[in-house]
Amino acid sequence: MPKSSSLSGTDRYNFMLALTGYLISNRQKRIEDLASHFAVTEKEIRSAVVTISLSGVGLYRPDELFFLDYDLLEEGIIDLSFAPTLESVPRLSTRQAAAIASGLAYLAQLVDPTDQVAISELLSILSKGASGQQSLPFMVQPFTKDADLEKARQAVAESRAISCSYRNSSGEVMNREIEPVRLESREATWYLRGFCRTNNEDRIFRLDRMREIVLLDTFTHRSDSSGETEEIYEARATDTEVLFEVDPEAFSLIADYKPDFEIRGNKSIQVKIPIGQLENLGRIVARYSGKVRVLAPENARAAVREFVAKALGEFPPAEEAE
Amino acid sequence: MPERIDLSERLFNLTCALLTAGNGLSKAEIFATVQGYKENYDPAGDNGALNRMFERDKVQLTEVGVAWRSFIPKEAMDDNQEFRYLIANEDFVWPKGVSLTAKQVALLNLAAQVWAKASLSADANRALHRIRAMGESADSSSWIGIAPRIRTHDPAFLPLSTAIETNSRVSFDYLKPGDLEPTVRNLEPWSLQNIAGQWMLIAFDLDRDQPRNFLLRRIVSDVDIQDVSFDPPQNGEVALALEQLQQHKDSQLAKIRVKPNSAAWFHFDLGQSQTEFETSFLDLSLFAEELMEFVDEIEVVSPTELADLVRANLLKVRVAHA
Repeated sequence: MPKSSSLSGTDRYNFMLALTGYLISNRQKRIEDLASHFAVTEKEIRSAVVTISLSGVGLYRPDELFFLDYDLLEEGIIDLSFAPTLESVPRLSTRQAAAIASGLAYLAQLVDPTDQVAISELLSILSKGASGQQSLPFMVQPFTKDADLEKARQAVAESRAISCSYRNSSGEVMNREIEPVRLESREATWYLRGFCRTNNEDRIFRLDRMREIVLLDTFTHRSDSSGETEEIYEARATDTEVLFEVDPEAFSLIADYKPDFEIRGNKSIQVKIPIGQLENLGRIVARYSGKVRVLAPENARAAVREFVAKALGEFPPAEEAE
Repeated sequence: MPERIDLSERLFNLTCALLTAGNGLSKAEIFATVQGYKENYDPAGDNGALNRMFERDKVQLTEVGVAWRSFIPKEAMDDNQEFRYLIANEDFVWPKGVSLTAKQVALLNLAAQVWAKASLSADANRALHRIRAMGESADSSSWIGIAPRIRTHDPAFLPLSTAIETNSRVSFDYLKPGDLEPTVRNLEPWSLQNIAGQWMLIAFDLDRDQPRNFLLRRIVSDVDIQDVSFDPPQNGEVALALEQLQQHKDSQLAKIRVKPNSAAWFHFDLGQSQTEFETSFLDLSLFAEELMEFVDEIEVVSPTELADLVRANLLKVRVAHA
């Protein structure tokens, strides 16, 4: 579980409410266990508990509202007891509940029937656990289930290699054996990260370019092969830096290729993106029907023009030209 | 200079004070007793800065889903009409009897991770802290290696969610496909829905006097949240709008011819000897855009409008790169 970044402002306030609720029914917990349970640092636990214990209001003096055992704290154990207030865990805000419920609805395409039942139960708990009687402000509609996605999920869960027919971005179709490490997605598009036995390298594969997935033997994970990267497209030294102009309606292009690029406002943006094969550029740009424009270099613009000409049938594809 | 109290500490103190005050607290009582306020309170002054701070804090509490109430006590109705504030326990805590299993917590964890790095990640993480506070640890064993992601790169998403949560009217400029100029829309926003990866707003259009759907990425201005509230949609109105969307989708059919072994053939998962497929689509322009990526490998057999639109899109790409 990733440690969340250091807490401040409303995040820290929210955490202190949650921690207080937890500590009421969980006395004498070790700091390191609390840190791992909440996925925060030990320092944050210690600081939050001290703040809570010093809180005092109205009729109560600080030491009357919360009692922190400082002797136990020295030994790394949190023991906090309470005046009769803050009896329980705070419920979720509508937005918090909507975020989690939408996430669950998105996961539904991945799970087996037992988990499907669990998801329905959780959605009903979430609608009860949200503040007030408000309906959730946003929701994800279920995605279509896909047999290949289910097989890929099973392969990752059971550490089993797969074989499949794969069409790479240059259009070559070949049979591959893959040891899958991670199954990732961006909305409707799914990617499988893993070690390709056929090419002997770590690669990322698009699920919609796979066919005939067959589950093979179980394999042992190689020592940290693909790491914890979020990048789908990894730049290579041979890439061409292409300068794009992107209209707001096409901002998803930037999110696809440069997830860390901060998008602000609703005006067109110029952005440089490294592109591996210029012959694929037309395909990438065509998707946005003029809302993405290649400004430079000139050979990249030419590649787009060629793609359009070919798609309009203005000259026969190269292999038929002779 | 009094010691500065951190925002998270002030909010926590305020929450405890409002939870423990059976009859509520007046603003003067809050300013006089709550840490973070009382250090700067001047019983004889106008306390303008404290008043503004209190207004901001109330908004913060609402945003993290801590519902406070304000009321004027009956006995004070005639003379001094001063509001009193409190947090009712039943508004604050999870409903009785809710408990989670380790497997459910694992699903909730994964659901929160769907928003990693997206604008909702803060809300999802706050929700997780509260969920973990219920005590159960996650059994994530079956979800190792799964990293599903949804993004919200539409700048309109958060403002629209806020407007829905507060039942506030909105207006924005919307660019319909085929139009050259955007038009201003005045709406009562009902719900945000992610359908097959696209965020859509379901709203009551005040100028057209009926519910309409809007794709978030076609919103080309800032969202103006107005200080005019409306009655939230009746139970079932959002569901009805969604059902009508689905019926609309089912009624629109397209037939596409595909080159075997092409990326489109893989993407649309055609059978071994299949070269044509039929599919329904929700929005002509959206579907045309989805096809654009494969435009050199497909032929739109029907409907004619779709074939024309795909061709027009290609010509736009050409003009943009001439």
